[in-house]
Amino acid sequence: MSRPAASLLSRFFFAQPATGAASGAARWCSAALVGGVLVACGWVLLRCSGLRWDWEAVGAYWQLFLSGWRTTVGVSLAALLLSTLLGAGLALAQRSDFLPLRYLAKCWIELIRGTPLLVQIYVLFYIVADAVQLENRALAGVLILSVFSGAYLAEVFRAGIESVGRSQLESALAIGLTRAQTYRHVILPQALRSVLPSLAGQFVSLIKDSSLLSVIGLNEFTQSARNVASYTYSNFESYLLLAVGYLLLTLPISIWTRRMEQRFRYET
Amino acid sequence: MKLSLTKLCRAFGSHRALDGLSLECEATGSLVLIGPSGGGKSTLLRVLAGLERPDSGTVEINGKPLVFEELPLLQHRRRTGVVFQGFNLFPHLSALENITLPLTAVHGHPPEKAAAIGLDFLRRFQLESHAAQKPAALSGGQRQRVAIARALAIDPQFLLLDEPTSALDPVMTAEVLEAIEALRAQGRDFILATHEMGFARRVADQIAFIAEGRLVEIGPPEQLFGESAAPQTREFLARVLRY
Ligand SMILES: Nc1ncnc2c1ncn2[C@@H]1O[C@H](COP(=O)(O)OP(=O)(O)OP(=O)(O)O)[C@@H](O)[C@H]1O
Ligand SMILES: [Mg+2]
Repeated sequence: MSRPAASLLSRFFFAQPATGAASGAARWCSAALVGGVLVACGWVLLRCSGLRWDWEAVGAYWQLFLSGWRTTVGVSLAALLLSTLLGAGLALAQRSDFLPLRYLAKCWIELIRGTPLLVQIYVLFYIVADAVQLENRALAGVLILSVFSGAYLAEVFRAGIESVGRSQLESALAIGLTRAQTYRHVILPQALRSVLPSLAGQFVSLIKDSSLLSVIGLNEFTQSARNVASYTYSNFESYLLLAVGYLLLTLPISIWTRRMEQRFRYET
Repeated sequence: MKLSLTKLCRAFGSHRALDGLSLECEATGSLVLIGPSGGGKSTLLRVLAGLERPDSGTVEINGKPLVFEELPLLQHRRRTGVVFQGFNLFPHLSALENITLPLTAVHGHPPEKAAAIGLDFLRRFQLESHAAQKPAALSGGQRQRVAIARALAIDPQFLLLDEPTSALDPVMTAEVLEAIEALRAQGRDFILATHEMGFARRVADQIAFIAEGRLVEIGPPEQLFGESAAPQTREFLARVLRY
């Protein structure tokens, strides 16, 4: 390849080999290239498959989509908060000196992680929720998802806590920090940094897993899309909207956690 | 500093790291521990730091017995400055924050006062321009001096140092040794374990030779490095001083 062509390429499409940093021009050009190629591929595939768009039929049901999406957002956000608390509690319980608490946490984690979410939803809703006469489906959905996701988060948090080296704990002990202070000033800030990527993954899964709550009759986003698809026979349009709706929730989480990773960056 | 240890034992499995160690020393500013590798120096320092509980035996510091229970140990750790080989600074905190954390969290100083104390100590060790840097951005010698500053900032009753220069190259070693000599000049009490015999000789008021979990001999440097030393001490010194 000739020299100017090579330098042009590296100017618009390459990051610095040593630092990984990239100029604004390189980032925009590369993003445009990838976006363009993806759109072109999609367009070609659609043309070849002979699909006919019909947005009007689906558009008539926009309110149904919106209310389903709102339910998914509400349930997911509530479950996200609750499962974070539960996960942190379970992770601490697993490290407790009080053995019954430790075993209880381990049982919970293993039972939940070893069985399908679908089974848990049925059992928790039709047996447990029924027994305690909990009838609000959204609330039941939040609780079930939290129980489920909390078990996974507990393992994420445990790995994070264990990633903090022994010598760090000893240093904390030596300067006279109490156990609670050690968690707050030494373990938490260091663990948070190492768990951020898995935490983001778990949050994204939680949002997508909320679609399974349709089996207890909760009209969340996936259920709405399914309903609209069966009313209008516009499967493809409905599900495309569904995908966009979920991305609107999951992409910000990915972006936000990447930002946080940058902020917490320090070398060890 | 007055130190009185009687029949300290600490075993790891079947191996006795401290095997009935007794030691008396009166009015000493600096006590340096020397002896063969595995002899029990680090274990002894960890006991004195309140990080390790002996299986049996007693420790008395300045006339006060050390009680090996949670609360008194916590109080003891808060009054003791520790600089150990494996004890790193906290990597997520800057040099200054590493020094101020014990001041604010443990000793209840308000943040501004803690920062002022921290900066003052960094200045004494010629580190004020590195106050905002994380440990990863500091050299080994700078890191170790921040660790010493952190241990000093709480105004401890005494300082415990375990091979503070073992991981450093000669230039950095010199930096840290100078800092420790300055401590002695200021009349700070400290107990130090080291393999650097020249330094031990220069900085010690008393030297204790420890081997196989027991005290072989304690005395001023002239005694241990002189003709009247115990045969085991002379043999050890002859071996290490050959190189
Ligand atoms: N936590 C531990 N678990 C098991 N064995 C240990 C532990 N700590 C120390 N030991 C053992 O106790 C003995 C004394 O170790 P110590 O570290 O006190 O020696 P030292 O005099 O500091 O040696 P060095 O000069 O090499 O640092 C060694 O044999 C060591 O293997
Ligand atoms: Mg040692």
